[in-house]
Amino acid sequence: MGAKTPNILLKLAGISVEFQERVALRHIDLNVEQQEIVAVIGPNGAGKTTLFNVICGQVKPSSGTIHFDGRDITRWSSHRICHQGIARTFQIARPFPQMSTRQNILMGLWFGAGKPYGSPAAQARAEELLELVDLSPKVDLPAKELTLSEQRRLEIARALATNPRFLLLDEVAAGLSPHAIKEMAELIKTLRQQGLTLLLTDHFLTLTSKVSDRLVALDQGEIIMEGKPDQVLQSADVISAYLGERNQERS
Amino acid sequence: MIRTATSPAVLGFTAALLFFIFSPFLLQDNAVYYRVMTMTFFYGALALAWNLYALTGNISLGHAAFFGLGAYGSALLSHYWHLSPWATVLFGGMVGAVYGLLWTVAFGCLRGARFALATLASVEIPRVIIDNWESFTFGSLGVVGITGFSAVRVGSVSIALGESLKAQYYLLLCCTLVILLIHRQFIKSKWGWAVRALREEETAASMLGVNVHFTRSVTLLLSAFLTGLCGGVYAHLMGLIEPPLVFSLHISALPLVLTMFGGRYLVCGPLLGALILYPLDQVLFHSLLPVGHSILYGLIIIVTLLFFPHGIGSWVQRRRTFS
Repeated sequence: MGAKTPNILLKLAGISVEFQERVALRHIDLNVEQQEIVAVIGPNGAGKTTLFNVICGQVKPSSGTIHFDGRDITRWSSHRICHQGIARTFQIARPFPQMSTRQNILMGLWFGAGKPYGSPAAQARAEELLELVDLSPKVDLPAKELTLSEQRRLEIARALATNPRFLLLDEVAAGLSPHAIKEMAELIKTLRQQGLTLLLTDHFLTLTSKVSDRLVALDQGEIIMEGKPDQVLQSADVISAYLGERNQERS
Repeated sequence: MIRTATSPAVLGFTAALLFFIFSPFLLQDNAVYYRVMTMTFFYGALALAWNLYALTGNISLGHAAFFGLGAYGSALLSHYWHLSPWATVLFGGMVGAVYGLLWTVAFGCLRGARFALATLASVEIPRVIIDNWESFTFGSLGVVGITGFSAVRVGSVSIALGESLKAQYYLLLCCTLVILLIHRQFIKSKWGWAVRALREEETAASMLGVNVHFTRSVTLLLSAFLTGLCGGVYAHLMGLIEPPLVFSLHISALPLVLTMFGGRYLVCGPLLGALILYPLDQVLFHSLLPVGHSILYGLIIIVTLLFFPHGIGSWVQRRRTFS
């Protein structure tokens, strides 16, 4: 194998994804270290969500390998990847709409973390997670009745319920108020302190610039720049590919 | 905990069960009652078996394939090997499950309308084969003179399941109760939650550790097995089967109508649908409209979908909460 390096938790090597004629990701090499917060940025259609889908086993790469904690997980199905300790949220929240907030979280505890069905320990952990994302008053409400921001927080709690070591947050700041973004940044920092490694995507850079150790800029399925946030945000390539688009949106 | 101790659903179920156990003592030898109720229990069992897979969110329009194969598997084994029907119905269930396994391989990745259409089409394959393999299956002539269930001895009493309508009534009541119990355990267990997660949001379920393919496949096998078992029981009760009878659209569609009417997500929903609709159809509508009485089912499905999409059982359902 030889893929395991002491500090590297996730290692993508030469990942390409093709959908029929279109290339969604082209030869992506990416390493994420333990307890690092890495943000993938890029304009719409750059391949951020596809990258997440490949890591989580929802899209199979046409070439390349993915190693997680030294294990080759390239063609594994999503539930096995979950059991290895990878959890994610979705760009458009996908709660179980008819289940209550608590039941949504219990699903992660029973199936992801393997807590015994109906055990008091699972119930207690669900309460803790609800507390963490500030949803305690809404425990018995069906998830479909939550607001967008609440559904995003529910997804984070549900992902954490699977007891992950690596958490992928897809556009977690989209549609949130500045205050909510600040709270999200605090939550992300807390999670890192608890030992988690995080990979985020953020189209508008509102959150990533606050919390990430490293930015990876994607454009048209390729990594065009990688490094410290300041460094990446000042790169001419990134500005033309990404910030250029944002300036156009503003004007 | 799920509140069940004093819920109206439990009281209603107990009352109905006591009624069905003791009513033969009051009615003595009312042949119509036995015939209608035996078939009611039979369709209730079929609807419960069908609903197991429908709970995953995929609606099957082809359960007649499992039913017909179960009926033929059981009848032919009994015909050629002269085994007891008690053994051959189990074989019928297994034949259904084998065809279910083929479904998981062939349409495992289909969802929604495409799945439903594929299942509808898949009934034709065994039907055409059985219809044309005359040397083995007797083709369109069907299998006649299928051995009935042998008598069961309980102490000094011999229960003639082959002839007595009352005995058949109790046999089907027991079969239905067993399938109801399986349906209940299925819904209330951790497995049931996995199935519910698949139904509500499959991608999220897989990312939370639910093995999507395994859960769907095993659920389908169980549903196919029980439907095949019902097919076997039908063959030995009726003594006659032919391809248009056991592979009919009616067999595929009726469980759907009964379940939608009774309540898809309720433990007793499919059975409740059968207990209301089948006697109503046979006793009332059959005498009023001897030819077009099955229009009733079409009308009922439309009215149900429009006015109470969760079935009439949801009226009595209490809100179930976890503490």
